[in-house]
Amino acid sequence: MIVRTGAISFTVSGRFLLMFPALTLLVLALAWVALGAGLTETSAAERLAALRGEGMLAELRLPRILVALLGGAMTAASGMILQIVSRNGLADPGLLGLSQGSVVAILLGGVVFGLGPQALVWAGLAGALAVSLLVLGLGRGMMAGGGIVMVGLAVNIVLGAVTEIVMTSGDAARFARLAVWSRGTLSGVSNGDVALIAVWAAGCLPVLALLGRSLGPLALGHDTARAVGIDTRWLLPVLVMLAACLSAPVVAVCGPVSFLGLIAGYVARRLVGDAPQEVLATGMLLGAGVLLLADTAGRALLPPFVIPAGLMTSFAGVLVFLLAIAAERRLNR
Amino acid sequence: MRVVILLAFLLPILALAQVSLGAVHIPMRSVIAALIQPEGDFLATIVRQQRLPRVGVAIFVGACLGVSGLILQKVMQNVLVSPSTLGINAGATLAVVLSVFFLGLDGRSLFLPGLLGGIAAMALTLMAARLIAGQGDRRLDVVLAGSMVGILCSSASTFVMTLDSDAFGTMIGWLVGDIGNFDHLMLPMVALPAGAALAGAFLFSRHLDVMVTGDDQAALLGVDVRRVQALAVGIAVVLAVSAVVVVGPIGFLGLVVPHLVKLALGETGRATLLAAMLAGPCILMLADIAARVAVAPRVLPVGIVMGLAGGVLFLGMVLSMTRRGRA
Repeated sequence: MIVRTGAISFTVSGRFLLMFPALTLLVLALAWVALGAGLTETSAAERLAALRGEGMLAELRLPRILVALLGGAMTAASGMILQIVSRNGLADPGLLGLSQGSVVAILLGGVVFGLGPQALVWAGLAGALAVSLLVLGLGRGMMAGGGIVMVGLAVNIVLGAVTEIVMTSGDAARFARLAVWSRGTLSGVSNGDVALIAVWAAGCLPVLALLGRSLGPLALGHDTARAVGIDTRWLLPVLVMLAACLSAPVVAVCGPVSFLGLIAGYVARRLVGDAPQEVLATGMLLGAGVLLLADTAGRALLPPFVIPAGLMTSFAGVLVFLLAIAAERRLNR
Repeated sequence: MRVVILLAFLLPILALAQVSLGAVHIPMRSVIAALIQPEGDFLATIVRQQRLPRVGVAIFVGACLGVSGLILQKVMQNVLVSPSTLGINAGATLAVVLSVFFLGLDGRSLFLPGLLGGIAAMALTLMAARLIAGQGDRRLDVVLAGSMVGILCSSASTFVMTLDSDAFGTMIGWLVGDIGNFDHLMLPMVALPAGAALAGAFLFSRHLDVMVTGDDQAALLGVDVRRVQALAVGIAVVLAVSAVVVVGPIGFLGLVVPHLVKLALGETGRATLLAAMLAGPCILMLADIAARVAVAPRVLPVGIVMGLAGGVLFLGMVLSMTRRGRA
């Protein structure tokens, strides 16, 4: 289907036109439910007041929901960019080690050097960039299948050991707090965190939208992309940097939420087909929805215990990972 | 055989070094005096109460994990598998953490839940590996599946731990693999199954050796492949879980030891098994000495040092394996 509005015309698939609004409605409905979910009952009037920024809910639950939506979308976008760059549907900032790189840098920055939250994001960004260069560099030429994921997992193991050294250097209470954060959780989120994430989202997403057109040729292969006139020499590094910029602030606020990019990319491709821009938009919605769902379910399933959102996405993510890799193998056979 | 004799000499030397070196340096003369005389001064107390149990645990755990890794690599014909990369360690850890938290078990009764956890994790890994098996490298599939199971189990155990940080304050050292922080009552308790498993490994060494020729070839030679595989995996899991229950998950020892042994002796024979049994403790003691001397007076858990060193090695192996597979 071709949409023409004045000077601009672009092609859109029918499935995308159907899916995108449906998913948007679903995510909004989920946010409405999440606003009411919890130990205390809340009326519709209270929830509406919270949306206007009044009352307790606006202080406690609203920032959490906003961070889940923004952070989920950003992590998912980061994962899908990595999937296009590495040409591997299994790529994800968590699996490739970017998140763990941020974690190590943030822990070192916070615990050893005592940096503030703003500076920690930059530290996390440096960590994510360093690891992405390392993993993509080492994994050059074996992007397909499990190869690059194995490299990422091995790097994850090394970084995990460094994380544990920093974490065990304090007392038990701090270990417990850091351990929860290092698995991904939204329980400590405040209004300041929303602002922090929103600034980074506002900076990154326009760049992503600008680069969107060149993603299509890139998905067909780097050589093909060059053949149609896309300068991959600068595009690929910019994309990797963008992926790091999208994942680092989320890690700084709620810890590494693994598998989100993997889940979002896989489900989005199932829903809307293969056009990268459509997959990206759908996947970001899905990422937002999945993280919000994981957090809300984690709060509501076993009260008074709160299951960290990172744990919930890990459970779902492992299943999707196995399904995705099985499907990919069957396709190649 | 020369390698085995060499290792047999190296082991007591390292053991003495492990007793002597640390936050407090104890001269050799005092060490020997403390070993001989029943009564002694402050240094003798450190030697007897602190350092000697450490040596004992290092020898036990090193032997268990080294042999476990060797058997797994032989029977699965895969140089990347080990108790940690298959998720056995993480599964046993999760089961132990769960039974401490929900059932209130402690000390001696933890072996059985640990064993169940290890077996469950192993089964899950094999199932997942079968699910994702395709045209790619089978050996990578198993490790990929194992990592996924490991991620699940370890994040679940972290979550359970954080539900009550007071109760688990003492378990933190255990969770990251620390051989200084253990319940010595556990050792005699798990020594029995571990000893039985080691004996089994030596007894069935011939059968395991035949497996190295590959499943089909082994079947042609008259080996009941499935039974030997089940037996070998059983022995390996029991050994790995015995180690985990005492000191927590120490990764990569089971991966590193078989490689070193294979470099020196090849894969088959009882001498290889013996060498793995000796090399495991040697490497673990080296790591422990490094862990205590590197940032003295702070003591790093030895599991972390092993994770750091082993992770780098694992990365190198994955790289060389995928490169070769491509060429």
